[in-house]
Amino acid sequence: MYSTVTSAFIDGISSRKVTVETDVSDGLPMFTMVGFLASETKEASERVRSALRNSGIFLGVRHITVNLAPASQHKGGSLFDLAIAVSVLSAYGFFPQKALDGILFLGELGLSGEIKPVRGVLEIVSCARSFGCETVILPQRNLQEGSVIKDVSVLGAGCLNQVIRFLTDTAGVRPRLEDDVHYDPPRNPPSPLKRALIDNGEIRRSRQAKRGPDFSELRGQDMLRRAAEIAVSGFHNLLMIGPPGAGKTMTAKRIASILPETSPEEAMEITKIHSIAGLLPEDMGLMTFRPFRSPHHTITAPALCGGGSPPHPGEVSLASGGVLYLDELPEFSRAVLETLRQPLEDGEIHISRSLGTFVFPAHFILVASMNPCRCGYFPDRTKCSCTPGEIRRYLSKISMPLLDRIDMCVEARKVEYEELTGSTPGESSAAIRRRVSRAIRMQKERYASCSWKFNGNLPSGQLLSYGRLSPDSRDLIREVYDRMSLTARSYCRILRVSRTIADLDSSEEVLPGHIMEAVSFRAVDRKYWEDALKKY
Amino acid sequence: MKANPSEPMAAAAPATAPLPELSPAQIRQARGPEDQQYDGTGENRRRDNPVSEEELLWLWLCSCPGLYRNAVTALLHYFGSVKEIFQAPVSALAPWKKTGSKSSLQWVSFLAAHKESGSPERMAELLRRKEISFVSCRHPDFPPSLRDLPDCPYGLFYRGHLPDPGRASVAVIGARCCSNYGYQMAGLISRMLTEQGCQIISGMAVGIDGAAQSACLQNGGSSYAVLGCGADICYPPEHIKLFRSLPERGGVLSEFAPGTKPLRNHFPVRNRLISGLSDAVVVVEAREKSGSLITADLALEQGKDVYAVPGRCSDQLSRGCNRLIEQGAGIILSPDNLLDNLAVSIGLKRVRPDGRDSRRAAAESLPALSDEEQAVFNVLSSDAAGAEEIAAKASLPLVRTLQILVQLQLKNCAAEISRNRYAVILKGNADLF
Repeated sequence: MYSTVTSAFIDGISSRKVTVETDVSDGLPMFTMVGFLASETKEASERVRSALRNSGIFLGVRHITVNLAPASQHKGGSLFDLAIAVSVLSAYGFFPQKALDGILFLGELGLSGEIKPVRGVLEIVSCARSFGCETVILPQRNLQEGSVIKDVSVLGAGCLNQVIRFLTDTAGVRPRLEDDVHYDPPRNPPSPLKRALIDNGEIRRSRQAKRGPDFSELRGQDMLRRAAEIAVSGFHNLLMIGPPGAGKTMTAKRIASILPETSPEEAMEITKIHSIAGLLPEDMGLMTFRPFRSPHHTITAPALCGGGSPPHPGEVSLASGGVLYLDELPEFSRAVLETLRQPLEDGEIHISRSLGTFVFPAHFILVASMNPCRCGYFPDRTKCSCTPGEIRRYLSKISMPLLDRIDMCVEARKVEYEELTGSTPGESSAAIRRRVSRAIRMQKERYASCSWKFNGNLPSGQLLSYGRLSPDSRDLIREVYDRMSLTARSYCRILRVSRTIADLDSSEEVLPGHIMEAVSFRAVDRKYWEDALKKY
Repeated sequence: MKANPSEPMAAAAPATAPLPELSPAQIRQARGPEDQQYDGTGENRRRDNPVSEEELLWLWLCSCPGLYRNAVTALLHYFGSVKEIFQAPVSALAPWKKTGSKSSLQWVSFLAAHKESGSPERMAELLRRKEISFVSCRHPDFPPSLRDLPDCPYGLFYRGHLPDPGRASVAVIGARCCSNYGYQMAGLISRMLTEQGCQIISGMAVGIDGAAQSACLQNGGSSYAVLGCGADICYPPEHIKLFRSLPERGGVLSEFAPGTKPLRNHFPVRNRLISGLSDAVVVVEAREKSGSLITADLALEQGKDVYAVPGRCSDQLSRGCNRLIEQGAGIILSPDNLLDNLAVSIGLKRVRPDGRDSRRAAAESLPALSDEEQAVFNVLSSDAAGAEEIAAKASLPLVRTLQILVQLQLKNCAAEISRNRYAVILKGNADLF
């Protein structure tokens, strides 16, 4: 006998439909799996067999062939187990084919018949309707995540017996089994499949409360605060330079607390990536806050950009929509940092493997921190004893093309004792976030019809039309350009940042004050390092 | 041939050794066929007059890489003249090989290779292509002040010009790792000396040296850099712009053969030329143990005046200068004070630029500042300070302070020393930043 069941899997970051076909025939007792499968998928035969037996099902001696179509597509992952089990049962006559149509099955089976959580549920469920399914049966522990999607009915199952009961009930007919096939249902009837009611707005509100460390805990450091606020408001990349213990890392950790709220689409995108990477917390259906990733400097290029076969999303994709924080930038391997160039430019990363090319989102704010030299005190020559050669070697570890893609730079300095012990707490994250949200709102309105959303992505060709410089500002930027011998690149970056400062100020026009502030936060370039080395 | 000289490097060894007796044929054989056409009619590119045969031979000898002054001295003692050194076959160098000292083994092999590598004309042609000129210590153009040195170099390679012996020369030297204050003082002193018509001699190092030489060139003066490497090598590489522009009005000098790498031991040696070329030495900032102090000591040995910019007791960078002052170096109370002292010691004639009092001219050049700008400007010092510190001292909001600091930079009143650290610019030093 023969049956087909619908399932799906994650290829890169998009889901693909898979039809599980099972044929049961007389012959030697074998369980054959075909369809261009990875080894973890082939092992499903052992898991399914044991899970069926331990759920009280005894199958007679038959030759079972399972095919996962399309056979030309390489498939991996353990999420077909439930679909295979259901398909086998159906082929043995447990349920009619009709009962299985329009249902998408997802889940890994334990040997006991337990259904274990899988990755990438949100992405698959969001595509379920396009696969022709109105119902999705998935592991109970993925129920929160799957229920975020409202256009399909999502059911959570904890064990195989629950699924069998559900399918027998919907079919409404007693299974016609052959003599050597038995089903001993458990003594306590299995509970029905669960549904979850998820109010996405509610999640959003409840998550607001816990956002991690707050800016009010940070004393002093007004420059870092202001730079962080501007960077977040316009999605500008930020480099913090300063001696050890100045509060660079402390500031960076608090940047997560002032990130603007996500739109529903952004939340969905962020959740999908985390779900595919298996990093979604179980009790969280939807990640409504922006990610903050801070990989250690020993990270490899595939871990940063995504890699493996088939490729998994890397840190740049996990940070998409949020912040990627690289502490101690010069300690990162040069080759690893070079790989950041494409994502910083395009907001996505293309990973080409023999299996094909995968495109992962990688639209993040890069926040990096570094010491100015090995001892950390350059150019304060009363403390720094590095030789020019040592400083040159230290700085040469950072690639200039990468620095070229960083919009802002700020100096962190040691906090004075008075500030550290003073009674006035710093401004809270909530207050900063209000200003950030206002600036984001202005950008949303301005860029409603554009392909970009933030000032940080404003194309250089559109700078003057969207930048709206006042006549004074035009004169000023010309003077700054000549006097400070800026490059074309840094000129564009100053305009972008000044647009964000104007947005924070709720100003339609970019005024000279905004430009001057942007100039003080302007990014460092080759000339900056060379000048510093020449002088000191 | 005489038995091997036991100490070929000892300069004191009398040159009594008879020259090796070789037939002319043997010499020709040793020199190789291309050298046989030698007729001594090379041309000096710069003066377009024939170079004497001896000058050409000196050029050939001095451009041997790795052959230091001591070795040349020893060779001269042994062979008697540069011509004999040139004509001697490689085998004549054997005595030095037997002494086994590592350094002599090295230069003997270098000289042997140099003898193989080409004729004096070819060396001259190579130099011409690199736009490097050469002057030997016997040549009338050789700086007379160097001729008096006990360890006068046998020749100088230079790009551009040699210092004008008719004009006063002052060396402005100091630490590579200097403070902003030192950097600006070097620029200021150099500019004022330049205005008085002095030539600025220095070592083209980063820090003080570079500031002094850049300021001199920016004010239309002529500056000369004495390098610790070949005159065709830019060291440190950061100063490539300075390296290119120095020859236009000044020069880049070196006693080392073109192509010589900037080795550590070259720098103390070249320091004697910096002090030797100058009439007085100004040390701006120096640590307790530094090359600048070596130069100052050499200057004292050579009977030159040394002046030092004083600094705070606690300041590591001024320890060396303060020590010099303790030992009797002239103290620089102000650039004007230095000029007055130089007027006495080296007879520098004071000229007032444009016939005006320079102090009044400087006061006039300060641009008009608004009240807020003045408040921030008053807070700035020559030590770089962070923006937050400045804002607190000037009692202004941080964002406003940042804006004013940019305005002050545009008005040439402040400089951003590193990102978000600002210092005042001493008058007239704007071009240095």
